Amino acid sequence: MNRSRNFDKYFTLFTKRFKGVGWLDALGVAIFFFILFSGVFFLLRRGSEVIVTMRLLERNSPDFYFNLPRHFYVENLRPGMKETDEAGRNALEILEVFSYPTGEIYQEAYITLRVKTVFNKKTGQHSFNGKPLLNGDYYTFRLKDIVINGIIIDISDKPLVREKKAFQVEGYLDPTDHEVLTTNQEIILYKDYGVTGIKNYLAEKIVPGLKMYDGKGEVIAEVISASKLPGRRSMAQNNQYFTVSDSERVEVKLTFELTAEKINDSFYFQKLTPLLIGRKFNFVSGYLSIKPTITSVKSLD
Amino acid sequence: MMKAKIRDYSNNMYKRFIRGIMLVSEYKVLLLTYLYLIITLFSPSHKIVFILSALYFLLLFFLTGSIINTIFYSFYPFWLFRVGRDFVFEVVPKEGVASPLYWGEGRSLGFVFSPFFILVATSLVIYFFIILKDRLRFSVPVFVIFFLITYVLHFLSAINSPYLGGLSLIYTIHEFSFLIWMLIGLSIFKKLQSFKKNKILTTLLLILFGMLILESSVVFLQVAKRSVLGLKVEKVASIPYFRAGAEESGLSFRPVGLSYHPNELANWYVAAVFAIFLLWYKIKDTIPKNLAHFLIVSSATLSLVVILLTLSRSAYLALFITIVIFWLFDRANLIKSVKFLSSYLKNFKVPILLIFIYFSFILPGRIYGSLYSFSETGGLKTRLEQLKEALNLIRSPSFLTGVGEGMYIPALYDFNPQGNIRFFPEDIHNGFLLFLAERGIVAFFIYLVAIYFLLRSIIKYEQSKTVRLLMIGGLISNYIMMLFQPFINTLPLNLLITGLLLKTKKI
Repeated sequence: MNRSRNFDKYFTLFTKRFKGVGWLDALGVAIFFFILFSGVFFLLRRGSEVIVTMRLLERNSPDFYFNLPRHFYVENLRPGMKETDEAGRNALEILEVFSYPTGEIYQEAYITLRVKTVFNKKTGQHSFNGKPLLNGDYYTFRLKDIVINGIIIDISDKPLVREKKAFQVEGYLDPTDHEVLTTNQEIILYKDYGVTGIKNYLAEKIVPGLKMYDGKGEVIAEVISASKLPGRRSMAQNNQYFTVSDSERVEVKLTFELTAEKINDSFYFQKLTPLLIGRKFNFVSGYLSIKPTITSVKSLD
Repeated sequence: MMKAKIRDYSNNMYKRFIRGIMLVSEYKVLLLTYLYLIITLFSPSHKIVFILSALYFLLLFFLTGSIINTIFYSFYPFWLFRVGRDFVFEVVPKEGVASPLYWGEGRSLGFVFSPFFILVATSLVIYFFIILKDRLRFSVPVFVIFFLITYVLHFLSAINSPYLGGLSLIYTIHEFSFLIWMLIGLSIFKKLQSFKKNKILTTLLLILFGMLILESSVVFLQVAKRSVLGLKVEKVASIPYFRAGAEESGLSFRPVGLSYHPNELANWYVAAVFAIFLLWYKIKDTIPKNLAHFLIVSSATLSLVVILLTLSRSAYLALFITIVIFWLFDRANLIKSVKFLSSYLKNFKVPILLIFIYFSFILPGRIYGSLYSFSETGGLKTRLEQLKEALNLIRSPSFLTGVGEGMYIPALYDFNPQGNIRFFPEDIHNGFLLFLAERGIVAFFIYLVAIYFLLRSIIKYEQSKTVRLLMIGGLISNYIMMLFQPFINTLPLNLLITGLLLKTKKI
């Protein structure tokens, strides 16, 4: 009873106090608390900076070969390009653009970005412009007049550095990978005639010392030795099987020294090609582009 | 028997003192503000500072029932605790700096999202609505109109800044809010009778006095500890590094109080002591005599001791010139005041002796060290080099509008990255040149016009010569600080109080 009377007393006092309060006063208090709560929600959230590494794609759709970015697009992305937020802080900055030559207009390119994010402690997610940054997600950044599409491969507080290792890799050049043929031609050449070796004009350009460089100018592959034997054609005629030399072709066996990166306990050349016997990799040097098939892999360390 | 008598006398003194405060001020507001100041000083985190500030704001609103009164009273207490979330922006990369003071860091600028920042935004919006409510009938003194024009130019300069325009805008808003505070004060006084005006001014004086006591206590403890105290409301985590030049002794200690730098602390104290004196002169006859004496003696002594402790030569010069002004134009009153001060303080012989002993150790060193200002590694050489660069920047294509408030360092780095900024990435140590470089020659000219009208109003002011001299002496002190320090004292507290008093002459 007494408590209820006290409550009434204070309530009357409270209402009396605010009787003369006008709309401007109410607005002032509302503005103060609105800014305070907005500040708590937006400005006092834990902001952080993360380094995001992305494999670039032309569109935000699966990374089919034809969805890789092209030269004329990649050249627009330059380290140091940055975007600031409303307060002038660096919100997004390109730290590095890294690519491997593919011998095609399509580029195997990676971008490293410094991104000012908001970190949500509960979900453990960083978000940029309200959208969470997730490994493996297709993501789009907009930096000034450029759109950056790709798949996120790493989010961390420092640039992604992977263990690198040198390998001696032996391989040969399969003629089917070095000529543009129709399916019928392929059947005639390789099944009916059992052709081995690549065309002479290509073989004579392959010499020890050829080097392949990555986007940073570091050597990632070098031809150590190249053994060349005359090409052959094998065929069956009059119930007899013949093998004859093909003066227009040369069988090329190569030994490379490659630098591969460790991804998930396996080593990959150019981040994409596993160093496995039977697999093929791209080797581009100067005006030459070949695709050796791996026959042996040996660690050099 | 004797002891009982003394106790009775002290109790009566104490009661009269408290009763005096209760009669002449809004004592509930005062009590709440003092509680806020004390509790916030020991706040364990910045988040708690936000909570306490919000609570203080709400309770103050409950007590006053008016948003403009709430803003008016809480403005300076909030300003004192400008802590919260820091936003830092690098303006000179670490490669661009060759000074060991900034080694590995580069030079940054920043702003703090604090309760004060929220109050600034609120006061701006509210004042806008006050103008709308009054149907744009805008009655302010002429000098204020010129100040407002200056700020329009400052805003344009910030918006067009090629550097961190957003940050420059925040700096401008922050500074502009001080003018708004004065205008809010004027709009409060417009509707009130003399008695109420008097009460509000007394409350403001007692709030400023409370702030002075609080910060002075922090300063004394810092001096005793020879380090910052580790309070969350201290703006620096360690005392700034001095003694890089030849003129500073490595053994001397310069406290920072709740500011970023001892010179900034001195600048604030110079403004605060003039503001307190002005308010005191205005209300001294309406408050009990013992309270009036206590207020003025404590304020003067504390301010003087703290300013001396900061070892700020510019502040020493500012005070010295003020004394010279009074000696020349109001000698009788000056002598009377000194006599009164010495008779009042004769009961405190021991603490005064201790203070004298302390200063006899530190001041000669500071004076002796100042002679090295003219040496090869002294401050004069750096200042002259800074001066040349600043003049070149002022003469750059942005001389009309400036590079934007607070943007001197990034602009100079952009202008001459290999210059003095590599070794001393700081603002030019001359507030006038800083004003010209950041805000342009047009704004400077209009500011001078505003000051001309302000001085005219002061000269015509129907009050004693002492009050008018205090107003002018305060301004001169602000400008002396500005002459040697990187401060732009366009709207110091004493100027704002001057503006308030000029419009409230009928008290």
